[in-house]
Amino acid sequence: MELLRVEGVTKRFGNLVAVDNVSFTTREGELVAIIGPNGAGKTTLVNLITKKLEPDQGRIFFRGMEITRLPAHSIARLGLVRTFQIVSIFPNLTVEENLAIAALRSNASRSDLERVVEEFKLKEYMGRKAGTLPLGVQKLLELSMSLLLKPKLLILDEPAAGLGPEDRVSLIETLARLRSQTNILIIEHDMNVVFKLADRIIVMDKGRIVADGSPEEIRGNKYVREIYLGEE
Amino acid sequence: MILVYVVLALIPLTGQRFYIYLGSLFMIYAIFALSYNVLFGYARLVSFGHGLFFAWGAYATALTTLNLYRDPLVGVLVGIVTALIPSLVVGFLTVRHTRIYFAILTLAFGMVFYSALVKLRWLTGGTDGLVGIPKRGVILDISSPQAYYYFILAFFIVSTLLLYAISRSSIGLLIRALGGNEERLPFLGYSVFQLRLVAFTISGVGSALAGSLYAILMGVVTPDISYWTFSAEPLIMCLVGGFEHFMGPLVGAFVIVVLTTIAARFYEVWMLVLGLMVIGIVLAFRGGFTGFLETTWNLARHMVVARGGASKS
Repeated sequence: MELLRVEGVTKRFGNLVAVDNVSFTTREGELVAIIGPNGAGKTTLVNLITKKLEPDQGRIFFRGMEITRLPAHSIARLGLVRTFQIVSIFPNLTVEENLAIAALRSNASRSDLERVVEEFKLKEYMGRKAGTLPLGVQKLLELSMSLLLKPKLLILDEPAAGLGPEDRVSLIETLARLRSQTNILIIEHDMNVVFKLADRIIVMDKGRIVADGSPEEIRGNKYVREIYLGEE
Repeated sequence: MILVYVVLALIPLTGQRFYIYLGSLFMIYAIFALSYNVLFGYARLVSFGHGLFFAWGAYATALTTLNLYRDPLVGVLVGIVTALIPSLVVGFLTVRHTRIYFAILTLAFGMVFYSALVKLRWLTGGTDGLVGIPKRGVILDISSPQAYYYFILAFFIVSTLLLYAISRSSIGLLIRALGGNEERLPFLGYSVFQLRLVAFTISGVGSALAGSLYAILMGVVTPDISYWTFSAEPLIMCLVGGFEHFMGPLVGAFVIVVLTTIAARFYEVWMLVLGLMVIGIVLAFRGGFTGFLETTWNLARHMVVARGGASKS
């Protein structure tokens, strides 16, 4: 079943075309990763889908419904939830209050909350101000909040950014477990994260989609190796 | 909080009219500052126009008691209920804008309202204002100092308990989330516009209550309470008392009322003291008085704990 459909979406910043006529469709149950070098337009694309930015052209559908003109909060309420590359939580509130804000929105039950706290080992931090926590924990908190919203599609914008090698490994394990709970779309720079998890990889460069296929196909794609893997 | 209520309840027993008057004034300013802080301290929106709502409450009460129904209780209730109108209207037009634009817009609305109060002489009495607002009414007679003091105290207790309940509620949590990281809220499914409007309305109606009680206390209302310098009063109280704590604005109101009274005879000196105090707080103690107390308390506790730990080892 179709989950997210992006049709000819374009975004310009002055003379720069950040996202250039991008189209793709994802299906229920497949874990899709969007990769590409810095400045390829990945985060801008996410911002357009979740309405942090307005697209100049194109249409976006989520579960068959057009969301191109909906405001960000309505899109989130439909179950299209995202995280941010630079972790975004409520630093002035405690971990418990942060989680409560998400739980309130989705009417998540007490047991949902406890399960998430258990899953992400947040119990010891519950009373602490979220802004005082280490970055790794803040990322887990943001992820927990997103999951408490009971998303139908969770878009993770560079979940591994800023994490140390150990945290990366545990992140991959966590994401692998999350697959059974929700649909996931990952924007990622770290190839290890992507190749281990994704069913399908979309490669972007200079605002366009340049390749789309299984991890094996992408690994073998000459153009992709040139623009992306070659630089490593 | 209960301690505050008890102390306030005991003040009239001194029989000193001056203390009764000061206590009344303190409660009114405290309601004003606590309401203002919902917007300022929780949502982190700076309004320079809350004198408008204070004045709305005061004039609505004055006009009601003078022209429609001669009773202080009815007057205050009309002040609160009708304040929904300017709160929602001004809120609707201003909360889409943030920071400097929001501040300037609220300032402009305040000035428009001030001009209206001055110009509409037939209704508002112009710069002379409205006089003879009755304390003795059809239902309630609160003409003795004790009576009007307890009248104000009753509203003070109800409104502060209500504001406290709001601060602890889900709505209070979401308004504080606005202050922490409002850009995040839409992506959790919340409308920033709606939340800001709620915060604005709560603070507007609360400010109007303070204005209504002020009209009853003074017996006179003049347009200067909607002038923008008056709108800065709750802001300064929140800063001085500390806007991070629920009790902060209340402490700020107390400090300001006491200091203005002491320094009333030395007006220039008073502005100097207040100015220096605000500068000191903003530069060194963002938490205000309550923040200062908390920091000191934590420090003292740590020192005790450290000493305890050291003696064990």
